[in-house]
Amino acid sequence: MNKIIVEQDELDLQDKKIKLEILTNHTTLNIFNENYLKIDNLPNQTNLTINLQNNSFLTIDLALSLSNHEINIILNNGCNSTLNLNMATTFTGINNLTINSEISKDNSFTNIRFHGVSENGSLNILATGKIFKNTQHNKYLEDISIITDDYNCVKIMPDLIIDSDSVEANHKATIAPVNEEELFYLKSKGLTKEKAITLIKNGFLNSIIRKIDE
Amino acid sequence: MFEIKDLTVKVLDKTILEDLNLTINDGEIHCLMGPNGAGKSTISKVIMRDNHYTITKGTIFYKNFDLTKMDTTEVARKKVYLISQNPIEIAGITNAELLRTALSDNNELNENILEFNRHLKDICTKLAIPNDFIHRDINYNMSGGEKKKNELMQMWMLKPQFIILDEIDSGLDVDALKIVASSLKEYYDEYKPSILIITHHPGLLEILKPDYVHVLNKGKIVKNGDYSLALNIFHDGFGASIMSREDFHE
Ligand SMILES: Nc1ncnc2c1ncn2[C@@H]1O[C@H](COP(=O)(O)OP(=O)(O)OP(=O)(O)O)[C@@H](O)[C@H]1O
Ligand SMILES: [Mg+2]
Repeated sequence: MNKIIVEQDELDLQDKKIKLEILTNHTTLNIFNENYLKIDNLPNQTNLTINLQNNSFLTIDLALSLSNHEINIILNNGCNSTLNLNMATTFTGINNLTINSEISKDNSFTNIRFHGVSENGSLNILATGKIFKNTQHNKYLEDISIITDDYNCVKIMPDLIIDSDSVEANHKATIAPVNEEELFYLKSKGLTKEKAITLIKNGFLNSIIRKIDE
Repeated sequence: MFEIKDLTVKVLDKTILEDLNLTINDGEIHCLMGPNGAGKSTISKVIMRDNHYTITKGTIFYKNFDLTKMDTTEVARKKVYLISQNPIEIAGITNAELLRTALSDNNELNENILEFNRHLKDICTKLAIPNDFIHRDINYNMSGGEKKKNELMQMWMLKPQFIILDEIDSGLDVDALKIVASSLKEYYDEYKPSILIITHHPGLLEILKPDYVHVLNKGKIVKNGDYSLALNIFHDGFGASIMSREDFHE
């Protein structure tokens, strides 16, 4: 897959299937037509704005290793736009993530999935979905799921602000240790506990992003 | 030899198995029957050392190792293999990944990636499943019958010597049952494992004829017999087998 190194503040993307390497702290992506983006890295201070134009489609996979990151993502949906935002993230150190979805047009679909695995880190997530007044037929889904043994180090604050009567919105947040049934299953095939846990965590992260042959 | 001796098992504070005894010699096929809730699946999970179940008494010896003192990984590495009643789905881990990890961790991976894939493809063909099962996530989005075949595919690669089949025949269509049964028969003929079949149906037993049949009721073995006992039960139900022991604890 081709790679674009992003050093400017604003970038228009149209019918792209690319890897983005973002080097600036403030980036705005304007999305036209159909796009797939893969991001493996973000600067420790990141403000990322994604503007989906009318009738645009974007799947964006972020596979991140957070380590003292401060990330703000702002999502603006156009009419008839679709956004799949998938974040597969390990985290160590102290991290803050905010995702602000501003749904001010009609017929958009926003699907946010966050799978996180703690590596003795802490993470605060503030995910806000704001559906504006007089908008119609929007769909907003948000699923945040984190594997950690230490519940105290993770805070998820999902917030839905709905001013429209015509919207389907849902959010789900899960914080749990490694699934015991999965662990038992893998051990029953002869894997050590440590190997099984590694596979489960990697699988949990990989399950929401595309496998890409580079 | 596999030998369960005076095994008592609790979940939380409820006794599920009580003073259970069962001996399976190498290469024998045993069938465990019994009404719903009798404790059949519990036996299979206890053997695999599922830590939801607490052993309060007794031993489980296999090849002179006491499995009750082992953890699940160690039991699996003694070549014990369970196909559970409802195999779970794991998104994000492929069969190939699981198998390569399991084999290499146990120093049994003596095929390069091409041979390994070819080997798996042959197994898929025999089981009448698409080759892409190899790289699919474990049981993920598979139908009930496909899951059972998927577990069999893994079995052929891991080559266990003691196999527990917990209702592998439930939910299989007629053709799938034939394929599963003959695959098991072929495996049996080739590797002569011991097999413990848990079933409510005659189909599998017609092909994989058990040497012994045991009836479990309320956590105890209440009757032992040979294949004819299974046939009687299929014909008449459990009534006669478990009636005389109705005085057992609730
Ligand atoms: N993890 C558990 N927690 C609580 N109760 C359990 C657990 N596992 C089993 N039991 C109980 O133990 C009893 C035996 O269950 P088990 O699954 O072993 O039955 P079974 O003989 O396999 O039945 P079936 O033919 O329906 O599969 C049941 O009453 C069940 O509810
Ligand atoms: Mg059962």
